Amino acid sequence: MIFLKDIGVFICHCGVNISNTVDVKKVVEEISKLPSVAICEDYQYMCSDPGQELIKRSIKEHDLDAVVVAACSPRMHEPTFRATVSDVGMNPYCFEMSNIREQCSWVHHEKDKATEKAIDLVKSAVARALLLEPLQSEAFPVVPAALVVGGGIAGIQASLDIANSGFKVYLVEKEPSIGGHMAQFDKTFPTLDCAACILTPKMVDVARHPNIELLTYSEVEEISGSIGNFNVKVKKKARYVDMDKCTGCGSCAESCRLVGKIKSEFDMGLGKRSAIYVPFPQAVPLKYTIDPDACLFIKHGRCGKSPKCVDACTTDAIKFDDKPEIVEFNVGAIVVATGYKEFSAERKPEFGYDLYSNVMTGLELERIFAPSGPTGGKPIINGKVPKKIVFISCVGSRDKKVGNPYCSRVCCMYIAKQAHLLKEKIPDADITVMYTDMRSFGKGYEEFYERVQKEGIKYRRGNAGEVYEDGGKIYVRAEDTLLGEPYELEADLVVLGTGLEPEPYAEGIGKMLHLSLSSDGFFLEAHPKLRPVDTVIDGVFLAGTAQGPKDIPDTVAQASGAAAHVVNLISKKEILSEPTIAVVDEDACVGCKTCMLLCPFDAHEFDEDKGVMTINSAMCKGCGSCAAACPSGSIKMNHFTKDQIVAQILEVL
Amino acid sequence: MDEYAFFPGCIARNVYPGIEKATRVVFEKLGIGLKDYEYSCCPPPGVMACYDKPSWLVIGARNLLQSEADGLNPMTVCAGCYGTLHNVWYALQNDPELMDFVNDNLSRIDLKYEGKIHPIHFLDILKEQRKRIKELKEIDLGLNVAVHYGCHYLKPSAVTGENSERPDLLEEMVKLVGCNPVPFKDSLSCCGAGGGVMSGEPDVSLKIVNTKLNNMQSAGVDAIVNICSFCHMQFDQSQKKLGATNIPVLHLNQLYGLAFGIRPKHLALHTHLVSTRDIVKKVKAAKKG
Repeated sequence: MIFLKDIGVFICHCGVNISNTVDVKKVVEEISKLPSVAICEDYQYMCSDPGQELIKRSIKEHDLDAVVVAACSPRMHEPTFRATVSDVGMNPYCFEMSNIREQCSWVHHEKDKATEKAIDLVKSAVARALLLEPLQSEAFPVVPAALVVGGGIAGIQASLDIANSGFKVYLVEKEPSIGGHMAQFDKTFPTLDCAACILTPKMVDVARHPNIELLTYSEVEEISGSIGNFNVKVKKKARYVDMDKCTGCGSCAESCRLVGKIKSEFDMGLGKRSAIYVPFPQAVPLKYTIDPDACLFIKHGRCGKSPKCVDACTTDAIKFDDKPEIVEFNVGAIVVATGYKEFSAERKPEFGYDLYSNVMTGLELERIFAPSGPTGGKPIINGKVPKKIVFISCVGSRDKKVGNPYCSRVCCMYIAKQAHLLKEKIPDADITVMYTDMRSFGKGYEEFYERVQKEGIKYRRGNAGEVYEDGGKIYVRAEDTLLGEPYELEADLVVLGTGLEPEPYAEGIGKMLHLSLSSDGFFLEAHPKLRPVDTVIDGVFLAGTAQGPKDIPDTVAQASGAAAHVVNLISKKEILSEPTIAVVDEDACVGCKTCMLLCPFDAHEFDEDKGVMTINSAMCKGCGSCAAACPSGSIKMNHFTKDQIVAQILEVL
Repeated sequence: MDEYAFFPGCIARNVYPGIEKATRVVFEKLGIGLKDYEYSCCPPPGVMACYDKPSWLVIGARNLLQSEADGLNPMTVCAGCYGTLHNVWYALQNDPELMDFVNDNLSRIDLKYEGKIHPIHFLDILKEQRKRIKELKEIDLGLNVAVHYGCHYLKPSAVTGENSERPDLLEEMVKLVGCNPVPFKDSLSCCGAGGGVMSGEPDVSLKIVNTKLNNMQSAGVDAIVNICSFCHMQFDQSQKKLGATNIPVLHLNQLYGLAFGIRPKHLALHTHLVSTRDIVKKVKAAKKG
């Protein structure tokens, strides 16, 4: 069979990139001698239009069965040449690429030996090309809807962009309101826009958008399926309040027996709420939720003579018999926008966060600043206005001791912003920022940093080592690394510039979707430069801090990017599958299920009736793990069959 | 019976014999055996590991392997010795190449280190003996003490596994014999002796220990209790040089010896430079009371 194939081989000079080290003419001469090679030609730039024309012409003239191009890495131009051969009717999987640039000319100096190696590499590619089989893609229908996980600014932006393109969006948020961390901020750097003023209109747009189905106080339970058609199950937690009846008037919260007794998560525990609550006044949806861990009636079955919220509610919205509900739907694409968690300052015991009440984190100070926060926006710490204030940067960032070698990218700037706001509110305050390095890289950031310095904020390079108490006063001990000397400052308020860590909730989502994590624990993008919003799982995209620490402008940009990719996908009626996947020979399979355990993508499903394994062609990514492990050799990895690979190896041995 | 290889270290052997004696007496009372071996200097984790790491590793490994055939874990009474033995053990445990290097050198004197034993600081043995210590206690000492850990016992936390920023074990251990651990400023600071500072930069060393001694004095303590021979020497000797404070210095095993009713002379308290007379008087009073 092999000898009946006619192969065309095309050797590229890549300008001088290949021909400087490899004697291309010699390669052509040697390869032309192979019995199955019908034609072998060389060209300056095979990827150029004339180069591609040469290939097309040769296919037609010589009625070629397969084509080999010896040039650069297939990562660079395999798609180019596959398209070239397809143009003239050849199956794209009958194309084979031999890398004689990165793997030969670029890494060798001696021309003789490099030429010899190039000949071997091309021969090896020809041996494989002889065994290549034409493969066909399958077409799958695409569900024209998307799931967005996480209702912070990233999820909000992605949802709005997708919905505005005319597609249905399911936005799932685990908290009672969307808004995420941005809703907790007072002002944003460097423009000092009020965060709520720019965020709340977007939150309202989400709630009002006819294409967005908002599922708050809900968690994704299960995701199955693959690109184009994911089946999603979402659990709507029991809210104990009828969403249709609640008007958001707040009478229930005011009358709750526990009013002002429950720590507000939104206010970082600094403010207090009732057992029935909205996280913050601008919450979307503005519907109350009963905290089952706090509510006396839910916990103990009684609340005085009757629950006060029931008495206060004029629309009869309290629903103590509320049950969690599972909502199921299908989507074509998913955006993961699960956000971040603030670093737990307790993990740096030297800063005494758990010992001293005037040591607080950046996010806590945001709540102090916020007009809706625990102090009504007044800078009052422990009942006093602080005069001596120290900021410590890089708490939980750039710190191998806590396992976070990365920079959190926002702390330098939020510290600058908070220092500015404190100076504005307390003009005679003495404010010092202890910084590691200043990273004011964004648009307008350096200018803002300079402005803050001119306002009299002192910046001292070198981080703090310790916060300690002596005689009822708090001191921060640090080293000034520019002067090369240790120093100590007394402080009424120490603000820890806590960094960003992955949201723990995201772990479950990652497992459901088989997403990889980068070494910092955030979700890994498909390519750090060229595919920053994609994941290796087709149809799943990343937005915001789920992928890594970033500020609001970068988050919004990435969210819009993810939305564009989603729309690009779900606007198609159908998509073509990649045929380079594993297939099971049902006659040979003994049903041992070895492959099933290995598959990182859950693509294997056991057919109980036949007693054999089946592979979901839409979910298989063609990694080949199962084919390599199959004890009976009954799994074939398309385009990388055992015969093809062995032939390729034998040629170079 | 539990048994350990006793690594006394140079200071307990040659400068403060009271530490060695107290250790032997206390461990005998606890029913824990101590076996002696042909040990050399540890050698010091600060100086030697910085200036000549290869020699430090090889000599450290030679000390470690002494008790390997008997399967006994070497026990130290000095945070410095512990720092060396534990860090060498840790480095060799985690780096097969270093292990090969060390054994290549050891083969020149026909020795081989296998990494089968695990060095231990005596505090980590005593912490498992809390109940027994309470039983053996004859006198509630009633002393106000400043506890001092010794940096190498705590750091680096990734290697030692200790909570180096907020430890509380030693505080708990002195409470067992009726002592009151007094909080004082910068209680976790270095004594100023380690890292070659005592010999190389004596003025700096004295400055560091002076600050620490003054902080202890201001807190009003009767004694300094330590778990490190080198820190012990620094506190005792430097007070003579500085002349500003006069706080008796006790190794934890000496403190336990007193609580167990051992005669102070048998703990060699009279060999200290800073007089321990007041402590002895207080203990006698406590015994009667």
